[in-house]
Parts: sequence; structure tokens; C-alpha cells
Amino acid sequence: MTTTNVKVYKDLMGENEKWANETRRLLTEKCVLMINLIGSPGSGKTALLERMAKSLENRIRFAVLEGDVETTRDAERIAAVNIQASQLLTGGACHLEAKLVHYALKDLPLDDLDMVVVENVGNLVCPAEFDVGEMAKIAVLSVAEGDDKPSKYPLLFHEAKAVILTKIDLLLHVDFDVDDCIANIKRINASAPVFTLSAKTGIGVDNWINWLHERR
Amino acid sequence: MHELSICQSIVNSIQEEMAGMDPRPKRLISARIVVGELRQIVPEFMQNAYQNLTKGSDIEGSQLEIKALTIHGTCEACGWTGPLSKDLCECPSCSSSKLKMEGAMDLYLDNLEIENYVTPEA
Repeated sequence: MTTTNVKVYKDLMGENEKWANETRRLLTEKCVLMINLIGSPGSGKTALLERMAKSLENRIRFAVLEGDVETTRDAERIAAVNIQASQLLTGGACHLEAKLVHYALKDLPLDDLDMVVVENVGNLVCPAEFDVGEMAKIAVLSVAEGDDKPSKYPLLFHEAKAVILTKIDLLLHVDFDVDDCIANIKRINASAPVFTLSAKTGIGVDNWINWLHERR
Repeated sequence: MHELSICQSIVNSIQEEMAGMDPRPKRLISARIVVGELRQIVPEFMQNAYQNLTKGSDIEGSQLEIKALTIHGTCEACGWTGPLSKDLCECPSCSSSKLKMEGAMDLYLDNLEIENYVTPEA
């Protein structure tokens, strides 16, 4: 038996990256910012979008691509606050990939938008692995989940351009050390700003929105 | 669980490479992938996905070798370079957080070991 070793150097994320780059090209051409919200199920990603719809009052015109395994509930919640939303159903997959996002994006009226928000499938692990063509991944963590999560799931916090700590109106009721949590985040990613806010009361939302304004 | 979708891309890439080889190989013995240390890939899950996705294909029975790639760090503050542990975000020399990581998210097909058809000697 004769055998040969064939040296290859082939990027295994190449196909996904191709779609992601195509999406970024389209967004750049249309001057549209795209962010990718990643956090656990129940971390408050949809509630944050509902709050942003109220606070922004069209100062940043945005649409939402909602990733979920099943149901159109989140897209319905977003549509109820007069924001255009498309539901992307993965049918079991734990994350969104670039091709699906690209096709959904092409159906949006990009000429009339300043920003597209991708709300990824609720999951702290898998979505962090995949570039969907966004300009920034944003990690969303609620204080109800525990201040140790950045250390336990470092990749997401490493990849994030900003971190949002949500539900701070619950701080009286949960054991969550904000300073400790921010120190953990800074250890993993020194350059990402951390926004603490409550989508329910609106506290802290302005700082987050100002950051988005600066990105446009 | 994302291992399955990454594994599909591994299988596709291997088959593309094999199809482009001249002379055509008889079979694939093993394929090696290199995985950066920050990638959250569980080798056991990846192996299971590989077994399942190659079943019934022309590369069924081949082995998947998963090689972990150590992160290479460079400190932009003091110039230190060296291997970096994945939970270390400060320069081991000057404690600056201005660390550049290389290879942390690498994921590529590195090597294919193939069996050739025996050509009768002239």
C-alpha cells in the first residue's frame, strides 16, 4: 500500500465567511450598521429591542432579524412596536449562519434603514463562533444569570464589541456583583464598553443608544 | 451542537480536495484539522458528527484527527511574544491588556493522508 500526505490549508469557515463578507459589502454600500445581539434565552434581548423602539423614536431607523428555533413570537413582539421584523427559524440549529442572514437582509428596505439588529438564537456558546456579516457582536447578559458567566463563557465576551448587562432593576433581589462582573469582562476583553441598563424602567438605555449613534 | 454544521463543512472540503487530486486517490485514510484554542469545539462531538456525516460516502471509514493550536500572543506595550493560555488576557511580562492573539479562532483543514492506487511498474 502506498500512501501520501497531502498538505492542505483550507479555511473551514470559508463558505460562511463568503456570505458574511457579501453581507458586509452590501451594508457598507447602503451605509447601514448591523449588530448581532447574543445572549441566553431570557436575557432580555427582545425586551431591549422593544425599549429601543420607544427610546429611539426613529432617530435611528432600524429593522430586526429575529433568530429562533421555533415560533414567530419575537417577530410579533417587535412588529407590535412598529419595527419591521423578519423571523428566521433555524428548525433546531443553535445559531444563525451567514447565508440565512444574507437572504433575510436582502428582503429588507435597506435604503430606508440606518441599522439592522440581528437577534441571534438564545445561546451563550454557539452563536459566538459564527460571523453573520455584522459590524459588531454585542453580548447581552442579565443580572439574573449570575456575575460568573463571562468567565464561564469567555468566547462571546472576547468577541463582543460591547457588553450589555440587562435587568438591573432586579439587582435588589439577586446576588450579582456588578463591579466583579465588569472586572471579569475587562479581563477577557479590555476594550469593550459595558452598559448597565433596565429595558423595563429605561435606566441606562441612553448610554447604549449614544454608543450606537457614534457607530453610525 | 454547532460541531455538526462545522463538520459538514469539513466533509465538503475534504471531498472537494479529493476530487481535485490527480491521479485520483484510492481512499482517504485520515484528515487532520487544526483548531484554535478559543474555538469551542468538543472533540468527541466532532468525532461523532464525522462518523455520521461520512457514513455511506466515499470517505466512510477515514479517521478525523483534531489538532489543537496554541494561541500565540504579542504584547503591543512591551513587545513580549510567546504562547498564551486562553484565559490569560494580560501580558505575562508587563500585565498590559494590549495583547494581540494569533491563531485563537483558526479552523482549517491541514492535511489529508491518502492511499494511492498501485500503478504497475513499467
